[in-house]
Amino acid sequence: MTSGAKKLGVALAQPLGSVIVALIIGGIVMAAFGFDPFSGYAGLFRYAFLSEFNMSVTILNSVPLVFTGLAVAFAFRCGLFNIGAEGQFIIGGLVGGWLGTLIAWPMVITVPLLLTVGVLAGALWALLPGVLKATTGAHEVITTMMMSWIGLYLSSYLVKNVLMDPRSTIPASNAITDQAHLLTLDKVLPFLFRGSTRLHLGVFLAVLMAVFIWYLLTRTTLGFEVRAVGSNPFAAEAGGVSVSRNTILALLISGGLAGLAGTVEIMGLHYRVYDRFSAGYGFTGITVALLAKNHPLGVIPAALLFGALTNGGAGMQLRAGIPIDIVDVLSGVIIFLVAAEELVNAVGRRREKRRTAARADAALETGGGGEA
Amino acid sequence: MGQVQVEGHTRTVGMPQSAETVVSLNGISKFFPGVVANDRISLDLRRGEIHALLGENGAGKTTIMNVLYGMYEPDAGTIDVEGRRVRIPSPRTALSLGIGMVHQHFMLIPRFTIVENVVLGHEPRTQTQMLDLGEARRRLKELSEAFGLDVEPDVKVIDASVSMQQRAEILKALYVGAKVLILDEPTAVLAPQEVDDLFTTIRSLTEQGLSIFFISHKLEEVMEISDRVTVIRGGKVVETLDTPTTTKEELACSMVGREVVLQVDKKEHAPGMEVLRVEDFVTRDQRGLTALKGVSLSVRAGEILGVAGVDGNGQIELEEGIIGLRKAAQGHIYFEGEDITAHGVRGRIDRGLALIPQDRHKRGLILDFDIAENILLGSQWKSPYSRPLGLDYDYIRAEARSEVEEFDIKTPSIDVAARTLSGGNQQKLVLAREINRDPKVLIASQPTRGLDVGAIEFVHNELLELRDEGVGIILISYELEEILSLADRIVVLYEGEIVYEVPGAEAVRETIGLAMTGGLAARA
Repeated sequence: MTSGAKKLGVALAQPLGSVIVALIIGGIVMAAFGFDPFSGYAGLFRYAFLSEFNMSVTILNSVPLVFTGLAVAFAFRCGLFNIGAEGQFIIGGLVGGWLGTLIAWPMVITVPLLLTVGVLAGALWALLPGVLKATTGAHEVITTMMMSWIGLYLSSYLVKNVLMDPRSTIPASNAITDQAHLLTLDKVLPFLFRGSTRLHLGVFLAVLMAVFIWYLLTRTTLGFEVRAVGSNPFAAEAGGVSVSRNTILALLISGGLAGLAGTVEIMGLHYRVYDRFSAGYGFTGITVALLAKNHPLGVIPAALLFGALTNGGAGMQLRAGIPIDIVDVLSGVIIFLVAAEELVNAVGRRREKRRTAARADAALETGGGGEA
Repeated sequence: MGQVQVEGHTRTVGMPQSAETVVSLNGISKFFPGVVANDRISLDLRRGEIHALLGENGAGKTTIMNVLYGMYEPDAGTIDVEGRRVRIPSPRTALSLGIGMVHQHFMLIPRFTIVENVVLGHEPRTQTQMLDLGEARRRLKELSEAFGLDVEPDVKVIDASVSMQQRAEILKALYVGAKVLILDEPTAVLAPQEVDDLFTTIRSLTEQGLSIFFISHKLEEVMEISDRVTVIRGGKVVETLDTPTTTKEELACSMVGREVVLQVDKKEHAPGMEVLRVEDFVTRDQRGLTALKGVSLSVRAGEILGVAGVDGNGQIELEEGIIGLRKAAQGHIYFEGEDITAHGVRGRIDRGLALIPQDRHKRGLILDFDIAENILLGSQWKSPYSRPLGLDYDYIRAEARSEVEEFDIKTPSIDVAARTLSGGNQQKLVLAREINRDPKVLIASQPTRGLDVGAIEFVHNELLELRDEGVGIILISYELEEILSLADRIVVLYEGEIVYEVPGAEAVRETIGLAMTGGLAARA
């Protein structure tokens, strides 16, 4: 096995292991409450993946998670906890969506413009926490969280009072113009889809963004400096890296990605700005990033997993009566295990110790010995 | 007691040690994942003797002592104390057996006073079970006087001098009745005079019946203080000798396994123009206290300026101030005539300054990055490392490979994390990276700290080569020997000021030692 493949295997083993253990524990919980875990999981799988419709809902659930997962992961790589992705998501969707109700230029101009605005809005929402951290050391966990609440309630207020579509029965803005839509894929790739679908260009954008962020992080000077700050800011400083500049930059990029998530949701799925249009995507993004171990490409399968859990869980509840909360249990256990990496590593180390001791004993028998 | 001539200075041989064995380590082996730290090590300690353990870094000498002190349990072998077979699962057991250890990095509570630290864990109580500090002070005074270890009981550890802290550590062990003392590199933090005081203390301790294991990698000290010396290499005992019967050269050869040149060959070299000047440099630390109080110095091309001094007198501030990691509250720095005081690290690196930092784990390397990316650090914005569309990893990796080869850095590949390298190889990596940038001024701070004799030889030769090629080098070191052997000019840093300056050829060890401890400070 090449060293690269081995490294990948090792890197995948832990998150994969966490998921499997979580499924086992989830099964035990189901059984404890009188449900049949096997039919439960069969149902979960079915509603998540089987049938074109189910698969497309899973993917649609995953799209915003890829963006928010990338947002949180990117910040993590710089040693920063952007837990305010939810607020950045909302603000991005709010600003992009609102502008989308007003602008009706040709789609090739409107769509990129609105997406860019969404990124900038999200970045702006992370600017203050970034500056505060860089200049005063104010912890971003607090500042991004607070900005998140502000964003939530500000958006709510604006939707209900300023953007409100008078004809709508629920708090929502006007519909965005036709030109502001992210086209559904049956219109873009008609040969692939028999009927209509709600899958939209955001799917491609999500994958592209993951690849772009991966490249940015691992192949560019900027990414190198961001990672250096995240790993050892003191040595980074001695290597000519500006810690404060990269702190702010990392949060801006993180916020921008979360803002983009919100804009894509509005432009691709909702077509108007609803009050509370986020189903906690900003927060789930944190768990996605953790499961992906902050690797931009790993965010895609991690997002799909959570998208599948949400979709499958909803179906399970609908058809088999298993409470959707089981999905929360699964998520919680996964996160617990991923976060408890040390525990898993320690178990691995003890096994390695026993193996080495056995090998060394054997070596002693034959009269060998090592150089320290 | 007798006088013995050893290598030109008189050494007092202690009271004849009894042949009685106090501690015996028999066939001890200790493994860690992937490494055999101790391989069937057998050695013994006689009553009243000072037994030195000599070895390179990573040789296993600290490990074997940690086994004796109960920090680790051996994977094979046995331990006898006072003739009885024992098991030592923890330091508490070791202490109860009368074995105490003073570690290289003190284990004192900074905010507690000396007396509080010494009695910690065995506090005397009053009738009502309250801490009886008066009794504690009395006992401490008793011990202090009995063993000649002078301390101020009510001084907080953070306010105490390093040598007093060390005496407190020794007293901690004596307080719980230690009869065997393990001293791990005790002179690493001391100035020359303080080393002499320590040695006097150690000798008096043995006169009182204590037996001492003395871990060191310093040949001169081992020759001076020990009765017997055991050389450890690669986890195994090479030999155990009576110290008076051997020489530094013999020991060095045993330690490394080959002939080692102990004295570097310094060629005559005429320095060129001034490349760096520091004028009245003042820095303040986090608490607003002045760390550097107006330092002025000057370095010319092709010269090594040695900055001597004891740890904690402003060396970190100096190294960081020159490279730009620390702002000047006052003063200026000129590089080739240009005022670079306002420039940050990147600007100074671009102009040709380089730093080998004192703390290689904190400032020198990103331990979780691989070797290639550590080589990149400090050059990541420059072409050909950086190109319009991203970093040229082919080039970076080729550079890394060639540097690993050139500096003989032992590693399975350049894709491993820097963390996996040994201390010596990590230091070589930092060196390789900085030297590869062809600096005009190199600040080398503690460049051989923690390195074994072979690596030290390598680094010293590199520095001399650079000097001969016209690089201006500022060598900041706590090892006076290193400065004496390499520097063309020497200054002494004491409490944030330069208190003494002398050309290398005219340097007198005792005078410099005096300056290092404030004996020459101009102000009263």
